[in-house]
Amino acid sequence: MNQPSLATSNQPSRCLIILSGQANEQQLEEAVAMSLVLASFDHNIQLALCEDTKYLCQATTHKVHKMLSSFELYDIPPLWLILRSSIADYQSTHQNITKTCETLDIQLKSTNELPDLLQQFDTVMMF
Amino acid sequence: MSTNFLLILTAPPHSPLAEHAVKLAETVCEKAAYENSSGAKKTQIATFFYMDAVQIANANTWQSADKSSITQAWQQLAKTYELDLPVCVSAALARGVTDADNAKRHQIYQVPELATSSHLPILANNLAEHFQLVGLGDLAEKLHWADKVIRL
Repeated sequence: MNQPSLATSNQPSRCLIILSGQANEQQLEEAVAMSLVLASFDHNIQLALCEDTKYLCQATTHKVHKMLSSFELYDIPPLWLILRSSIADYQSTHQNITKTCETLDIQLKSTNELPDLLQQFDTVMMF
Repeated sequence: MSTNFLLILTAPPHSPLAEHAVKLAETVCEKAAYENSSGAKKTQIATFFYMDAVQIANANTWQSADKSSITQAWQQLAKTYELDLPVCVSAALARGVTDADNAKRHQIYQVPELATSSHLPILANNLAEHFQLVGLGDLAEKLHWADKVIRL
């Protein structure tokens, strides 16, 4: 079998990369590094944090937080924070993190919205 | 209609996912080779080793005789089907896997303590045969090419 020619298609993919609490620090860092490189190669990247990684929004000295802060330089749209509960419930009980999300332009999404949101992507990778 | 498969491997060598991945790759390679022999090239496959899966490219990993070696299984696929085995260089270096070029560039020695002594230090080189260290740009190009992306 000959190696495939990679020049057969040049369509940018729409790729959703989800960071979950299952990933360790190094894996989170590598997932974000991958997002940045893919974005710089013209892929349409959307990064989403699961609720168990929301600490990254506030951990300003964390390397991953700093990488996430550089997203606008790569034309990556605002981060999503995927909530287990409804957005209204979350905003009423987590005012501190909600305010941080507003400041950092992080969009809140409920897991109920996920089926519709996933339709927008060719590739979904969860770490 | 042709299908371009991209396998992104992230699971460590001893996980069940790593075994599934190599079996899946073998099946796709067999299908592609069969189609190729009949003149209808419909299926193609490319791989990319990232995160903990880069440990599969470590030539120094020992495997007991009662279990098959994932590294050898991938090497066999590379030999049989001329399959490239690209490994993310930064993920590999972070996990102690290097080729001679990167060992020289980053001053990585087999016995680091000897690097400062009067002994001539030996550069590390534990990248298994048939694997190649590449940048993440390689993955970005393959993602442009792929119709189906599977991460295991």
